[in-house]
Amino acid sequence: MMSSNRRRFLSAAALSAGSLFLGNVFPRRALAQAQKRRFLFAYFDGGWDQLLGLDPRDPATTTAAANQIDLGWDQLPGVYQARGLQRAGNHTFGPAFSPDMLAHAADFSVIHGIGMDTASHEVGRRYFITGRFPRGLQAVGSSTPAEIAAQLGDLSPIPHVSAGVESFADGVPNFATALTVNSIADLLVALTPFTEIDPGVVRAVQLYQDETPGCVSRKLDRDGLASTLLANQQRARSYLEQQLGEIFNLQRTDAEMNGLRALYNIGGGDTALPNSPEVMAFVAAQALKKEVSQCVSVRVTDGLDTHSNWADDQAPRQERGWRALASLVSDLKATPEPNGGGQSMFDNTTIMVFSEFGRTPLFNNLRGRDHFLGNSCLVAGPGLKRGLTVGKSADIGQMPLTMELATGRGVGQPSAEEISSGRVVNVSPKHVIATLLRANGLDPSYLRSDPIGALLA
Amino acid sequence: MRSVVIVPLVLLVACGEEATPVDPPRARPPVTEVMVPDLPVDHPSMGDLSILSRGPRRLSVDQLERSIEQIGNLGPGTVKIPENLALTLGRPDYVKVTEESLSPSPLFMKFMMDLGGIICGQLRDAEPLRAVDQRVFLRYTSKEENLANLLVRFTGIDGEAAAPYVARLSRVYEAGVTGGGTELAGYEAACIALFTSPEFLLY
Repeated sequence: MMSSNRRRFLSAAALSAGSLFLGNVFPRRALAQAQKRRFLFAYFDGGWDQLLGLDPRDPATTTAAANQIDLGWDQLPGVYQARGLQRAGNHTFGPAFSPDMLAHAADFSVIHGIGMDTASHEVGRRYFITGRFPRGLQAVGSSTPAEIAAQLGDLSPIPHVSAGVESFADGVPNFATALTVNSIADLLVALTPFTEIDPGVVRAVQLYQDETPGCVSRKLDRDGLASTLLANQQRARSYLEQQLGEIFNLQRTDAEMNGLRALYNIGGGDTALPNSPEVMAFVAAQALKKEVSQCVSVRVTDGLDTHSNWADDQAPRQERGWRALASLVSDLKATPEPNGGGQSMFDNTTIMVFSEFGRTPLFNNLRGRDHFLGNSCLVAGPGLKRGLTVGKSADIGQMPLTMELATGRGVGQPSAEEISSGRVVNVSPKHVIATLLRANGLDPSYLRSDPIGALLA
Repeated sequence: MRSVVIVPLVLLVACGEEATPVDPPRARPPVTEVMVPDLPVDHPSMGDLSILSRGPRRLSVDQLERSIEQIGNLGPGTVKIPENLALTLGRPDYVKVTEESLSPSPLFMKFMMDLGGIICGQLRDAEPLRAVDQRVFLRYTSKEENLANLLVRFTGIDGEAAAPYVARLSRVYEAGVTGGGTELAGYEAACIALFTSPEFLLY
């Protein structure tokens, strides 16, 4: 074991030494390529039932008694019962995976067997958002999109938008901090001037804001908080000066906006609510398409925490998220890449679809499912292979199996050598995020984790 | 946004007296004295120990509401930021989020600018109808005293430390009078400037 570790250490040291010479050439070229790309993080809020979505089982061969996995699909509304297990290329999906998302499945890869090491919403969510396991409930480090924006540079009007998803910034430049909004209403407030203040008064206020901070402000800046506040004050002003509000104005009646409302099915029922899955997906797409932002996090559905009422709520709410995501993907595919090359925006967008954890494969006494340590996620993007399924959850009990990173093979009983060599690992969110960063030529070293080599194109 | 902030200034105005042209009292609102505990005998000086207290923080939503009441001479519990706006400003919903976000984010700063516009605009409108001792902008006869009063209401900065701020606020006041066309517009501008300042929002 020791010689293996020593070999790895020396190998890493040699690579580091090599990078001293290559460092001026390769990363800059890779960074230039990444700077033309976009990043989307789509969040299913509440903990999704993998059996209904990304990690289903065949009802013909799976029973609660033999597998400790109770599908319960006979309790679902008829449409989901009729849909059953769905196949698309190498993938299989549960009945809540929407047909329109199924049409895009070949462009995505699925990662199974992700161990979350927590059954807490906050911890699981923050683990997937940052790639680092929280301390208690406190997030460690920055959100992945903030890290990416920091590495890419200040290239777009709002480098990082987070719609309905928590965001964290620790040690990243101010421009990488997210504009975090809970709804499109918040976003419009942020991007639209408040007309009830006399413009002459606004100019006078800005005079004060542009002056050197006072001595008390400097004392309050011990941890940089006053500087952050003042920088964000200037950023808030710059949003207004760029007049970005119309991009997100769903009240517009021109042909483009009419088409978008139809594409995202925004109109009837609660779909027009300012934080509905449909509206949030629209916000994310517009931010990416109109080059307002390069890094977008978006909550595409919520209400998945179905400890009870699972049969009625989980599948429709999860499907609604998939539908919203499918609209977003269709929109990106239909939008030509401004940099040319005959590509669509989708081709240059890295996407990660995640939830904080899965749900138990057996029902509780309320016929609901509780929090589960195992998880799956969906990824796509440049530098990533498409249509692959990597990793595996156990056939009995659905717990995550270890994964051989180079092949993506799920390993039920790894040898001591496989574990000590680092070839076989318990896959966690940090491996997923390291993979996305590496695929785009970005630096994942802060995660101290290897990427899933099997997914790298 | 105006409709979502409940500040019952209208009621306050209705209860207030008509403005009187007498010179108002000079007493400023008291600034709470910071009590420092005595150190034990032979204890090293705290300055030499390089022990830092916790860092500055941003006002929470509750603190913001109570602060606005104090600044505006409003009754306790009269300022209520609606729940959806409070969530955006960081208040936890105790369903998905269980701790208050106290980041002075760009969105928070934009909301503060807008909220400052609403609150200071309402104070401006109410000012001529309020009793002299209830006024926020026109409590004293000189501009400098009024600005110093505004500064102390927002930040607690008084005495020598206030002088540079009053000079700064004077420039804002003059620009506000020029831009807004009235004396009260000058005070309104100074009020909004303080509303969005680190000296008010951090402690």
